Amino acid sequence: MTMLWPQPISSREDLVHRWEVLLLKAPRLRPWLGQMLGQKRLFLSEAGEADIDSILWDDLARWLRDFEALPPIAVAAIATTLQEERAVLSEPPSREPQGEAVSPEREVAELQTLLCDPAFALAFHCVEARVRPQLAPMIPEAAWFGLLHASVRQEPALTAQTAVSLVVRMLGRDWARVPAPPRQAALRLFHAGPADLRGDLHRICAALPAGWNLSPESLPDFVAAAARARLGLAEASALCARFVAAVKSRPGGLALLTVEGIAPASPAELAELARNTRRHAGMAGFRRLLELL
Amino acid sequence: MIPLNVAATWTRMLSVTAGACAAAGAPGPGTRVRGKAAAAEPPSGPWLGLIDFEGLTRAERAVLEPWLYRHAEPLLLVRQLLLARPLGEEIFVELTAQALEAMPEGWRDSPRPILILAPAGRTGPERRKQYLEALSRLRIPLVARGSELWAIREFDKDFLVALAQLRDPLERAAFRSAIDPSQTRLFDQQLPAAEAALLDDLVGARDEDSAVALDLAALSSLHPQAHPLALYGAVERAHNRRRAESERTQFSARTIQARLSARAFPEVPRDCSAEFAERASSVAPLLPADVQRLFEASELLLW
Repeated sequence: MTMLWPQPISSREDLVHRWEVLLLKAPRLRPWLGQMLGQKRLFLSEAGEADIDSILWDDLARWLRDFEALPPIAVAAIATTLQEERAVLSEPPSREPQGEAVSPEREVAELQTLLCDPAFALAFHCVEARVRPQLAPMIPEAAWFGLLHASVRQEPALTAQTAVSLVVRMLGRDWARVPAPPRQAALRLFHAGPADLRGDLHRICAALPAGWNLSPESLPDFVAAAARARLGLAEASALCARFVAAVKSRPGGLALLTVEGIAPASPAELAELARNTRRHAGMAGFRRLLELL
Repeated sequence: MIPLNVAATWTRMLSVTAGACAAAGAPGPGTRVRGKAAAAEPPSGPWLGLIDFEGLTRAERAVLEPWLYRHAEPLLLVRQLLLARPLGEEIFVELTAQALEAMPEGWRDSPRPILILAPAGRTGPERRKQYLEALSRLRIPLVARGSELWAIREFDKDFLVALAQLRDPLERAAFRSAIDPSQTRLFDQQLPAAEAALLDDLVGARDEDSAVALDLAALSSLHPQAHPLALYGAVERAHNRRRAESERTQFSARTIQARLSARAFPEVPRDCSAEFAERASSVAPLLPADVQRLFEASELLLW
């Protein structure tokens, strides 16, 4: 496999030589390195960096220093990790690297895999019932979902909020492919209150993702819509917890979502779930969920 | 061994590989700040990792320790985290044999960022105080720069134990045979992905967009020489000022220290100066509330 080094190589021949020596000792590093360089190049390109090759050379120099300093035990570990990470790369990724190209078929498959589990089927219903109706058509839905996901505090535990947030993340995957600067400007605006809309608003409007077409005059509507979306997300988490309280037995992930002292879902909410379940009857998680209710 | 709840573990595994975090908190060496891993900017070599086993059962420790030493430690090392022996009731820094072998020359002779990996939901104010006091008492170069370089990430202890246990071939086979047969192949694919995700989460490599991360990046642009953990401490406190009590976090040791000494809260912050507003706005398009929050963080960074 030929490595696509940054250009020009002539000025960094010593670095390339040291890398080749290292890659001879740890050949499993080679595909990893190729992948890293490709991803980083894409990321830098999308971030609008001017001197991409120079940055990549700096990274290569730093990684090489780190690897060369490692003892044999760590080199052995690298081989193990990379063997496993190769398997990871061919499967649904554990994160969403910026700029990664994911086919629509794969995205659907990943969401369906998740929704095989009744806990996430439930979370999906809660998002459909409480979040989606609140999303104003002024920006793409994926953008709303991405912004909502970024507004949730990440917790290292599976809770009703985590489950809802994860479904929101899956529905907003396209948002991660928006370059970082407009994504960040949008997130700042998403968290803004009406009182923040003063001063030079043209600048933040210009920094928003292409195609949004928001003007300073339309920002109050956006801020109000963002507040409704955030409220919808909070209601979706609360609804999810109420459903868990209503479930007769809680196998699997449902047991993890349990919140003590929560009132169970109302008959109207249960009826709403039944209606939604009929629409998604093909999803295994919904069928299992219905059996539990 | 510990009896695993197969269905719950499987659900958790699916959620983590789909993007839910297994560890969260302060930035780790793998957290990207302005496009670069925190350990790379400024380049300072590996961070010191202190994993807290206090409160874990004997059975949980018996599962975790061999996994940590035989399997995870080198994998964390290549993620720029050098482990000390797990913390118990007593808190002290004792590097493992592998860490001693692996550490770069002279690494112990300078202050290093210290990341405490603590089980989520079990690290109360008293334990945080113990971390701070114990590290403050040490008279070793590694801790010489004080609390601005110390921080906490919390991890999902049950998930860590489950994955450690599933390294055992017999346990793995038993688990595999207990899940829905249509999902066994998926399990084979998800297990290594889940482990990689967990290790990445421990070092912050999967941290995603958030309001705090945005401010961290902006403050880093304004103070490019400051360490990401020092920046995080300032940003965390500026955000805490705007949060309800139940929403406040104490991942940075500077935040814990400020809370213990009642500094930085609840005093009235100064209004942002015009000079700072102009400088901050050159970094990114900001709204007035963002500028004020960054101004406060910038001031907190200094003390």
